[in-house]
Amino acid sequence: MNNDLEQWLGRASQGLTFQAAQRLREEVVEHYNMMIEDHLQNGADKSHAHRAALEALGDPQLTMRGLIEVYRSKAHYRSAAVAAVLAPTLLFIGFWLFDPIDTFIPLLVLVLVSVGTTLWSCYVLLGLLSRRFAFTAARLPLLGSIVGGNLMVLSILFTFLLTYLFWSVGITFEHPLWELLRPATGLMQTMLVVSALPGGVSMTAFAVCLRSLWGTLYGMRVGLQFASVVIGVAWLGYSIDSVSNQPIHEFNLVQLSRTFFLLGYVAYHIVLAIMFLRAAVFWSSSKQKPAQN
Amino acid sequence: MNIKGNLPLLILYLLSNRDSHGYAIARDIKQRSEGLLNFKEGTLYPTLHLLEHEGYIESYRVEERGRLRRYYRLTESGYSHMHEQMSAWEHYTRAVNRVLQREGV
Repeated sequence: MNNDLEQWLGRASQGLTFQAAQRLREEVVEHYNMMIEDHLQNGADKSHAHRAALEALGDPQLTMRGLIEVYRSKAHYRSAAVAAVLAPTLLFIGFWLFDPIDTFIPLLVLVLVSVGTTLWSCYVLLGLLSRRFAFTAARLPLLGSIVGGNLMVLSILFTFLLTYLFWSVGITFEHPLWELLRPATGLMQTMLVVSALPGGVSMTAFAVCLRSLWGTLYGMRVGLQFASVVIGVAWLGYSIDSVSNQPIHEFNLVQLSRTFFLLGYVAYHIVLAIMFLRAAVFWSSSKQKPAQN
Repeated sequence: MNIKGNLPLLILYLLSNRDSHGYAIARDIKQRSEGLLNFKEGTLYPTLHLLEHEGYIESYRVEERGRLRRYYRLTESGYSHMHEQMSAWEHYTRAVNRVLQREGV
């Protein structure tokens, strides 16, 4: 194939999926060949025909931008759905691994994987923010929560890593779900207390704001509100317990808060994943404006 | 002349006459407009793919002279969408002509 055309195709298909790039290649090569045939039939010489055909195709960047709008919306929402479930999945894998393998290497691997998934999530989610399709004003806090979820995983894992390295504290869990946020040392305790109150207030406020934010949440508005309230209340419960005296402990508020937080956290990310998947299905089937809820 | 916003309607209309492939669509637009609607042909494909994603057209492959070509045809929803767009276009041009006091020209 002509080198110039090969370059044109390379630039026009940047960022596309393999299938989309193949489809474009198939069509443009055929288009190009037909243009050449027409030029040759009209008496043009071969090099002029190639130049004219390439000129007629225009700027490959324009084609690329147009195709990205068509193809990446669906793929992007799918990726966002994966990003939404990555943070809680990683957290659970991490905690299930801890019990039998209480060693440095798996801990380090988890931290590195967390860093990787956080960066990848940021990349996917920032891409979503630039989409011109109708989404919602709520996207920034929603997407931020996924990155926040990853950062939370990271902070917990880093804390464990530090305690392991500097205090040689072995971390054991009676059950990964119930012992999710057990403070290994004072460092972790401090970190959780510092983040609990603002976390609780902001999640509860976010749940309230979700009611009036414009745009669609692809039918998941109530689910997101509910999960946000559960997380917010759990954080608030934890912070109340952290600054209170011993008697409240007797009501097992910490245990209750942890359970609520865990359920809310998982539910929140599942709802987000469903929302992004519904967006992917929506944008792959129609570009009409979705319903406002 | 810039036809970016109107390219989907032109494609739908041409496909309502007969199934066609990208090159033939581009050639038809240029020929029928006597060269006035000139556009870069690479930009035709994002529009074709978008219309297909929206369900207004569908594609199929045909082997011609030993080469595979992708043809497009109008779907039922594409047909009704074309009529909506044509009607919107007629309203628009009539309104502009009224402002320019060129009704009936």
